[in-house]
Amino acid sequence: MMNDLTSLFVRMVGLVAQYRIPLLFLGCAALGAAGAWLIAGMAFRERLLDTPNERSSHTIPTPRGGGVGILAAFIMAGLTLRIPTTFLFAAILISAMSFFGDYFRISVKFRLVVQCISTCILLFPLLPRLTAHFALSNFGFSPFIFFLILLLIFIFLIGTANFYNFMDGINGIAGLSGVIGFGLLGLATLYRPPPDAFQNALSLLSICVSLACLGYLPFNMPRARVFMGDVGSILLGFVFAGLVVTLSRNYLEMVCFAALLFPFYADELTTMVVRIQDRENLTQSHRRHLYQLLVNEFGIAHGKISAAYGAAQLAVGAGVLIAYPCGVRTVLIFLTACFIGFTLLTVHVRKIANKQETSATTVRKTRT
Amino acid sequence: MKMHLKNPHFYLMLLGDAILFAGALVLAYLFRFTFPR
Repeated sequence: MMNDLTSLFVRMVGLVAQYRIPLLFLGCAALGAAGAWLIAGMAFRERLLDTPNERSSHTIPTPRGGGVGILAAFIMAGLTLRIPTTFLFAAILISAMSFFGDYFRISVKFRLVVQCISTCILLFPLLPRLTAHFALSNFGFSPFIFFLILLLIFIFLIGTANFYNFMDGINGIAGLSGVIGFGLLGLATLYRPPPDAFQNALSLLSICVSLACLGYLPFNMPRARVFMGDVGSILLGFVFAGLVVTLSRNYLEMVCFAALLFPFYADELTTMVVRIQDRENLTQSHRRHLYQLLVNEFGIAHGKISAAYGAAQLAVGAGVLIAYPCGVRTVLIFLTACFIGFTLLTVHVRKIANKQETSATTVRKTRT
Repeated sequence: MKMHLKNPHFYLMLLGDAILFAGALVLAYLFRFTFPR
C-alpha cells in the first residue's frame, strides 16, 4: 500500500515536471479567475465597494481589487520561471502600494515616490544591457544622450504604469488589452534566435500574465462583477513596460514592443494635450478620454468599445511586428500614420461631444 | 481609513487574499520541484 502511494506520488511529480509549462499556464489563468471570483463573490463586501461618482463610467456600486489574482499569478510565474529578483520585487512593491491605495487614501506624492523607487530597483540591474544598446546604436558616445535615454526609459516605466491605471475605466478594457498586449509580446519574443534562456523565461512570463488577464476577464466583461483596481492595473502597466525594456535588444525593438499597447498611449497622450490646453489639473480624475466620451456621451456599450480598442491594438501590434524587419523608417512611418489617424478620430469625436453638450446647455437655459 | 479598519469584512477579504497568495507560492514550489539525484 505504501509502495503504491509512493509510486503514485513519484508518477504525479514526474507528470508535473513533464507538463510544467502547460500546467503553469493553466495555473495562471486559474489564479487570475480565483482573485476576481474571491472579490466578486464576497456577499459581505459592504463598504468595500467602488461607489460611482460624476467622474465614473459605471452606475452600479461594484467591488474593486479583483486584479489581486493577476498579482498572485505573476508571483507564481515569476518564481517558477526564476526571473530576476529585482524585477519581481519592484513589481510586488508597486503593486502592494496600489493594493493599499485601493482601500485607503494615499497622496499622489507618496505614490510617485514608491513608483520611482520601484523603477530604480527594476532599472539598476539593466544598466549594463542598456549601455550595450547605446554602444550599438548610432547615437555616438555622448554621455548626455545616454542619460537622456535613461531618463526617457524611466518616464516610460512610470508613465505606462499610470497610463494603464487611467485607462482602466470601462468594463473589459484593461483585461482585454492585457490579454492582447502581453500575449503578442510573449509570442513575438519567444524562442527568437539566438537562443537565450533568460529572455525565454521573460517571454513565458509575459504569456502567463496574458493568461491571468484572460482568467480575470469573464468577471469584468460584458457585465462588471468586479473591477481590477489599482493593484491589477498599475501592476500590468509596470510589468508591461519592464518586459518591453528587458526583452528589447535595441531601441527600435523597444519602440515596436511599446507599440503593442498603442491605443492606450494614443488615447492618454491626446487627452493630456486637450487637458493641458484647457488648463486642467492633470492629477485630478476626469472622464475626457476617448473611450469615456464614446461610452458616456454617445451611449455605446462598454463591451463594444473595449472590443474596438482590442481590435485596434491587435491591428497596430501585428502591423508594427511586420514592419520591424523593414527598418526604422518603415516602423516610424507606420506608427506616425496610426497616431495621426487616432488623433483625427479623437478630434472628430470631441467636436461632436462638445456640440451635443452646447445644445444640451442651450435647451436647459431656454427651459429655465 | 478608519472605516475599513473597523469593518470585519475587510479582514475576511485580507484573509482570502492571503490564502490566494499562499496557493500561488505552493504552486510555484510544486512547479519548481525536482527530485534530488
